[in-house]
Amino acid sequence: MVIDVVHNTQEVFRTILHCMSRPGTIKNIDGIGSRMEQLEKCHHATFLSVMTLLDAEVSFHIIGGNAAVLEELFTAYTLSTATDLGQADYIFILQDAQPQMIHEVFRRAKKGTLMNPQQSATIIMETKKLSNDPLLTIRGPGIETMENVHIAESELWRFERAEANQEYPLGVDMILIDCQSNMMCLPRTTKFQDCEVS
Amino acid sequence: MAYVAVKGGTEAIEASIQRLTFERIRSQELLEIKTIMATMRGMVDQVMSESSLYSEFLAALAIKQSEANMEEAVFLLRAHRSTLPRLYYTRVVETDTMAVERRISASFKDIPGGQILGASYDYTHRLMDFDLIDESKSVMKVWLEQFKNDEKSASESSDLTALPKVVDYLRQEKLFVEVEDDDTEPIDVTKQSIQFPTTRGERLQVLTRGQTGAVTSLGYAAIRGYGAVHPTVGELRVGKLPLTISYPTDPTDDIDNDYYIGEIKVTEVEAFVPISTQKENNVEEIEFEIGYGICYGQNETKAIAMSILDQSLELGSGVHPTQDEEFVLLHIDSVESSGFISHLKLPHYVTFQSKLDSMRKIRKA
Repeated sequence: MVIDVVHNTQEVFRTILHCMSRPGTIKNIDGIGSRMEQLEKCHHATFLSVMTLLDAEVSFHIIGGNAAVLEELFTAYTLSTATDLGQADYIFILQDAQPQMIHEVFRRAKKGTLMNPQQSATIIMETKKLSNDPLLTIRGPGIETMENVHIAESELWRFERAEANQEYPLGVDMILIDCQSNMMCLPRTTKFQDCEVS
Repeated sequence: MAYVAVKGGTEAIEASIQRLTFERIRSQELLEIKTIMATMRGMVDQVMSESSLYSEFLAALAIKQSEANMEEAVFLLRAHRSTLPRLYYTRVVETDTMAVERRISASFKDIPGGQILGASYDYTHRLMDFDLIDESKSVMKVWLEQFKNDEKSASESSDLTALPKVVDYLRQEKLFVEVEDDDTEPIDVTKQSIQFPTTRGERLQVLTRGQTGAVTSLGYAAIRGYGAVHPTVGELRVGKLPLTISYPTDPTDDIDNDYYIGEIKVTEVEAFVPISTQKENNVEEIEFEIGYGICYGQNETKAIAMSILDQSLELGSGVHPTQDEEFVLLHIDSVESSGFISHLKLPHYVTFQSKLDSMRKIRKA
């Protein structure tokens, strides 16, 4: 078995939980399971998240070049169903997604209702590089004072994300993944320093 | 409510867990999982039913691990259940396709298909069988051989997988009102916490996973005067239901492509409850309503009690406690009730101190 569906997914889940509760923390999950060969267009860490988060109870949507092929594959492995962007519980933005599509995601993704803010989408986004280089600072619950982060090409969606999250508790949570299987989470409560100013 | 966050006692807690293992194995006797599965049918069925997870193997393991402590076994199995991925939903099963092992009616002597007694304690003398103390495998084998030979000579006249329902027969006679199928998607109480007023689907789900003792007691109370239901068992059947799922990635949802995934044993009860209604010209008329009970495994008392409570809650006038859905549904769950009672063992140091404080102040004054 390439991925142990019980123990590996539990490990990934704990990692996501850790990163979600401490925004800005970067964890590497490259060592969990081994890479699937037919998945060259999607990061190993993305596929691990798929195996961890999806089952027949939830739906997903893929933004990126070969969405149709991946949709079929994700469904085959998890029995989760691909659905419209506005209804999906999990939205995957792959590395080769077009910038205008990314904007569309933040506009149309489920943001929950005031009674049930948890009924919102989680966005899993592939990015080129994640690090704690001092380029941007984030603040919010789970961060003692502030945290430095560097997310490649984050200027493509930072403003849209801020707009999507402006009516707290409504909003979207994000899991960011880079090609080295580094993972960082940005829950809806986390704010970019410079976004607040603009 | 304020609890003190308690940190410490780690070593004592670890020692306590060691002690628990010691108590389980100190006599150096082993209880095999297969022995539990083979000989503790009643308990395995109850654990599966209260946990809402049909797996005889896992129920047996939970029983072994919890030293046959029911509430603990159910807790273990429910906790395990919550970690499992949900992959398929089975097709709706009609219980007239049940492979019947036992089927009786207390309403009619002659029912189409006949009464089938099957295996039941109902007809035994409740006398201790001291022969079981020295039961041996060789005697068992002889008995089984004899039993198999006898069975061959008995004639099978009716098809046990297509027995008609008693209620259908009464419907044909127009004694029961035809009810239209309600195909709205039921709310899953394991995914969404119940909100009052509940739908019937939610009530049936909570009742079927209720603690056997609690369901039985409240069902009894409903008959004794804390309710207004006195049912007659129209039909009680115990048997196996075949389960199928649709082909997961087939968009046509064609029933011919379905997979058969196995069978589950259930007890099903349809109880007839007379309800008197006032007609326009002030004439009282009696109508029959149906209370429905179903649970995993063979657990007839629970299924009958469930049918009583179903009918009681359906009436729901609120005059009696058993007609109050909040009273019934929120208290019969094994994990919830035993969990809340157990939490009283947690440190309540601050709350208790503050009570003592105010008591002392009042005394001083």
